[in-house]
Amino acid sequence: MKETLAFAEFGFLLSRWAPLTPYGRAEKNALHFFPDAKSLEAEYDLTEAFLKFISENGARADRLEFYLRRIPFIDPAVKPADCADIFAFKKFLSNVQSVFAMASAVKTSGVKWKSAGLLRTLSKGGEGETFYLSSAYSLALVRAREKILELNSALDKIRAAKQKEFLSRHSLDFSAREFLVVDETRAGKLYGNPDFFIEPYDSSHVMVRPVYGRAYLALRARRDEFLRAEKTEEAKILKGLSSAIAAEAAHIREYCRQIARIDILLSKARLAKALKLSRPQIAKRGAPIKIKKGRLPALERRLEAEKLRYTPLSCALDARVGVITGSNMGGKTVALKTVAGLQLCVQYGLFVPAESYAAPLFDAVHYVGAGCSENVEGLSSFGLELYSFMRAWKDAGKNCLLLLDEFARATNSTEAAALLGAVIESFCARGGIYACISTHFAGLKMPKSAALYRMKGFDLAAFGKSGIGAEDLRGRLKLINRFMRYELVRDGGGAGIYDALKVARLLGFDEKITAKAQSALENK
Amino acid sequence: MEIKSAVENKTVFIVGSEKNAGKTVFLNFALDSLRGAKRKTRLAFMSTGVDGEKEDLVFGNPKPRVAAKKGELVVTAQSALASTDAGYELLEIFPAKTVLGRAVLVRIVRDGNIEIIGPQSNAHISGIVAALRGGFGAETIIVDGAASRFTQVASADGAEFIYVARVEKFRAQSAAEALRLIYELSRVPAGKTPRGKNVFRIEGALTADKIRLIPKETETVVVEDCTKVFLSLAEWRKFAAKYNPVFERSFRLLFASANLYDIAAGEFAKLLGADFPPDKLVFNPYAL
Repeated sequence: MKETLAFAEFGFLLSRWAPLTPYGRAEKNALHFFPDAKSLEAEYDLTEAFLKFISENGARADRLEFYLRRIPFIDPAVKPADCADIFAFKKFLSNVQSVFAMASAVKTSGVKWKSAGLLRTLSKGGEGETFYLSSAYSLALVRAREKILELNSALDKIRAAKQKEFLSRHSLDFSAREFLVVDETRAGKLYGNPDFFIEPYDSSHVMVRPVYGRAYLALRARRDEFLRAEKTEEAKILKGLSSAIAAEAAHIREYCRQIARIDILLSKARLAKALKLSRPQIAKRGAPIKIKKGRLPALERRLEAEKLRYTPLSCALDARVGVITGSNMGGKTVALKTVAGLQLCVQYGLFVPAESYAAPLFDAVHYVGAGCSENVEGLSSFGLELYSFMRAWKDAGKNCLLLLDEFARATNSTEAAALLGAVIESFCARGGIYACISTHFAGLKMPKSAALYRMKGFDLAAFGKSGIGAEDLRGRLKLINRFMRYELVRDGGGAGIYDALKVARLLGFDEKITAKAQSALENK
Repeated sequence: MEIKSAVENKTVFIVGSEKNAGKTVFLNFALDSLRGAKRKTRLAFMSTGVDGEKEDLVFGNPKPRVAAKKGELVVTAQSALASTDAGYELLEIFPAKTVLGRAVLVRIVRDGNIEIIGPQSNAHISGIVAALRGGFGAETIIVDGAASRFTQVASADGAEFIYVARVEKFRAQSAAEALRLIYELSRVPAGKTPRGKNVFRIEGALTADKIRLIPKETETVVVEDCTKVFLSLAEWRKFAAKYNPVFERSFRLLFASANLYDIAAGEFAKLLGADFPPDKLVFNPYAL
């Protein structure tokens, strides 16, 4: 599937599909493949409900996103061990509650909030998403903290008084300093003074630290006892809170699931709105793929940036096996990419970049073509293509969509055409498989059940009338883009497509050589 | 120099010339200077490594603790909270990891001492600084740098820095050259990358070897920032005399604080050169 995703330039859509929570992102990254219509239709109903929500309740949707963004990752299976863990759960629950309140406007979101009691317990130190192990949790904590504050204040007073004394008696200002670096000669009279602790600094200076006395140390020891009592009490409370959270693990697990769902659906709806995607129709197995103005958004953006024309794809691929032919640079590969991209959107439960798209569901979507296989030592590009094909062929008995772009292009054209003909015949003979094949080989033998399509190609008449020319490559590409008709039409077969020489001329290929080729073709 | 007015409403990195240069002592001094002000700034502080622990984890020397006062914002590691005697309210857990667990943000609700342990990656430091200034309303942010790493300064564009140098007599010359180099780097113009024929951009570090590869006709050499300069003072001066160096990102040296050992202030100032601006240098604020 990786290769199909790359071929369809699906990364463009994926990069814009942006869930806001760690749960949503995990679900997105898992790329759930919808193989059945029932669950997919349910997904589309919900996406539509969220689209409606965004359109009708813009401000509320923004707030919903605000709360989603604030949801941290927590693991309901792991019991919180300390303050920071409990903070994470509180932040999670606080935002989940707000998300549910916002999302309740979407009738189909099915959210249920069951942890009001737990959140109240965690909020004794204050509402919101912060966490404070407040004294409100226990009287013992109140007592310990009161004592600590009282003793801290007494310690501050002693320190302030002593510092004042040191300043007036010794001109030593310790108010913003824990120690002072003093010249040894000046420090001489401080030696032996119990108010100072002196240690060497360098060969001519000492570090002088203030000593605040026995009363100070006794008070500090007492304060430390209450600090220990506070820690013990805090640990007890944390254990209780941790157990309360663990007791609701099942609910919390469910919240993670529901948050992931809301996040995924909201982000799908946002994506649909941003890229003007529409709800596809799921057709029965074996039904044709019908596309009206299907787009390949990545290419559309690139062309837009280059100020080039983009032609959406409209067609009905009404046979199980369809072969697309056409000029060089005529859009065969883009047509195939568009089909791949649209079908991948459907299979991943996304709306599609098309005015309308109707297609059956597949169990797998395979692509075989250039750059489709990681390098295997010793295999040529033709070998790699065959290797890729064989991997896809294993699924051919199943209900799968196979997309072959210019198959066997890397070998000699006679054998390649024969091989491709045989492949088409095998596809037609085998049930289940739905294949879309692009090729530039003309005159392929086609079984009756296969359909032949053609990219319309270069509009020479319009080009001739226009009288426009171009000197540089960029200008020539613009000309091709302007006069190439990127439309896919049913082809009766028989007539070859001879656009290669037109394209060669437009690209500025040597005129003498092109003329020679033209004459050789006409004499054949 | 008044530390408070130099630091207030800024993001300031305190970086040291080496381990035990006196960064944390300076941090405590800077914090106290800010606290003593009439108008209280909304103060936040953090570290890019481990600081404030009782003993230096590398050398085992006794280390000063970092005092935190009510209302201040402190970023530290989750595990550091167990050993603090300060009261705190947890405001945020950051995705950044420190050597001792997740980075957390607390608001101090009761004065006490705290170990400050922060992330080391520039991206994480930048993210936290942005969050402190944005969502949590910090006005003055002080970041205690780790060991002699200088690169963390690069993580927050627009940040300013204080360089704390340990200056011992027997290697005062090299300390002066290091400080002089930092001062000269901080004066290099910065901003948009200039374009043109005679402009050459150095990818990564600027080393003596890379200077040799600069095309002959080059006039302006663009370097990412001053942390990418790996040259001695003499090499830098030679380079700066030949080319116009430009940094893509600027930093400002607020000032340097020199902790002198067996060398007089005047003697060190002489080594720095007469043109070293006096407002860019303070001496150990703990010295009488």
